[in-house]
Amino acid sequence: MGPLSWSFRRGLAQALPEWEEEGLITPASAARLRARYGLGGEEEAEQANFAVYLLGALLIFAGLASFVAWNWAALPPAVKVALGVVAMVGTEGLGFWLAFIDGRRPGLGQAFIVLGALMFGANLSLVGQFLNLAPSMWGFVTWSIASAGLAWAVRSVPCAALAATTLFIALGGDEGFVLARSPLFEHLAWLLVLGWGRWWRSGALSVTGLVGGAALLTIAAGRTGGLDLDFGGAVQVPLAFAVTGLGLSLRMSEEGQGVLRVAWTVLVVWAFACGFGVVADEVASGNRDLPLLNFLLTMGPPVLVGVALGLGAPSNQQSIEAWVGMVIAVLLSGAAFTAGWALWVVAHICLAARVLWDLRRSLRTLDRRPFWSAMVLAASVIVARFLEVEVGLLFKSAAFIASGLGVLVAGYVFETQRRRAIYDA
Amino acid sequence: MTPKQVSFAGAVGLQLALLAAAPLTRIDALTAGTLVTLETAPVDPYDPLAGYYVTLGYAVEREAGRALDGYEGRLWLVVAADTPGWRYRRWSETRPSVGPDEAALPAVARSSRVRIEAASRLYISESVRFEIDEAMRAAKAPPLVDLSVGRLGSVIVRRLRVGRRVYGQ
Repeated sequence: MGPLSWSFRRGLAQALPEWEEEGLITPASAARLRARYGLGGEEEAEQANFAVYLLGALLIFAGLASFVAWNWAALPPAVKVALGVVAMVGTEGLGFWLAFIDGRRPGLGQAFIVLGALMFGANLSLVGQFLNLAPSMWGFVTWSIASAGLAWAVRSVPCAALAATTLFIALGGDEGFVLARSPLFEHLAWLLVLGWGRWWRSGALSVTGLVGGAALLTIAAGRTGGLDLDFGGAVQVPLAFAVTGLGLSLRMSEEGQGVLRVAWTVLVVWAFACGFGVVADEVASGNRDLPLLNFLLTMGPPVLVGVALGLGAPSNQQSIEAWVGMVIAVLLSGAAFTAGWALWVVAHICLAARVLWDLRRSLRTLDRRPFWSAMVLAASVIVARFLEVEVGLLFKSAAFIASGLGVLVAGYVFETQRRRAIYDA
Repeated sequence: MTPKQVSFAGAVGLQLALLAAAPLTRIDALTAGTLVTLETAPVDPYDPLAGYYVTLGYAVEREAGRALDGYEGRLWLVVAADTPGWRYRRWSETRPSVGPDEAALPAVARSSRVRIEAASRLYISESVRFEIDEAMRAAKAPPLVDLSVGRLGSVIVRRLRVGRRVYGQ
């Protein structure tokens, strides 16, 4: 099996027929190269799935972290640690078997191995909880060493990214280097991971970087009571979101028409921002005090989107999608004059519509990109809500784990159906 | 076994060794440490990875801080058995020998403030975090913390006692 670099394998798949034609390689050599790097068959599908499975693993880890934080008192500490260790070793063992022994689900297996590396961090926290130890630089260094060991053993790029990230966190903490304590440090670290993944291992590491970057900005934007919202703040959140992975993944999905693609991206960005209760309340209350000015500043883009879609919808080949977008833009704009909760509800209707529309299109056309867009958007909204809202940790844990399992199952079912439709037809 | 299987087994073994390292370095405090009780005034924050905890500060730290004369760096606090909590006796740059009713606690001094190592937190269940706040407000006497101090100088926080209520192990 070849490396997980999609750009390399895509380039090779395109180049092989030319090389054969020019006599640079024989047909037998071309066939061996195709088999070696899994071009155009089940292996290529599985490698492409890895990104979605990784998203599921990250959500499950968030659930496990919440479960550890819940600190269930019914079990003795030693039993808690033992359960955590058994779960970690079991998950990694299952992943290794799927990826390297059975071999039929390498993407899913690699995702389980990454989940095991993340569970090591949760277990480290469990040990710290048992000994009542405060987190320290050495805890993150330990996590980095363990992740690096796994990354080397199974050639896992996300594990290597985790090792680098935890080392960055160790360096940037109170006991780390002074220069690394700037708030931008984490963002720079994620940009480096994203750039590295895009350039080298674009698929899996790009998703890791995109989700992490979106999570960081979501945490910053959704912190209850900590959001100082003025015009700059109102624009900053959706603009920041627009340059994160969610904006990029939305642009990856084929909308057909350029205007429709941009319009829906703007709507989703605005809806994501208004999905935060603090933002929705500020926008709605601002419209009561300075109605025209505030409305132009905060809701101007959705209004323009509505106008563009209304003008283009009748002649647009994707007319149903355009009409739906226009209606949602009107609803968003109207809700901004009512109450924060109304704007919040309409924002979530917009996000749900986008997810469902992309899922429908992916099942109809068997195109992966809208499926990935839908999964990333749904996961981002779920993570944002649970970071924003104060709910019990046990409930939060269950919701994250259920979301992660849902992503894994949805990805598995979609790819299985896609494989059957394409290769068994 | 294939080389990859050996590498994978080695990586998992490394994880298990690293997880065992923290408890093993405190095995003396876990199994046979001296029980030291100190007066404290906790605060209740949250660690996203390990959960809710109370931050612990001790009366003996304040007393030692007043006696530092500008010293900064690692030191040892010597406390002596007393009721309800052990009392500050003296501090030392190097590990001192202690009497039968004394214990030496490793600490760090920075900006005239002393902090006992590995004794600043007690992790609590989400369900009791508000109860602790109420208990502390209603308590007539300072809360007490029981620490295990190993012969090699390692410290583990065992429990927080607020009135008749006990939190921790």
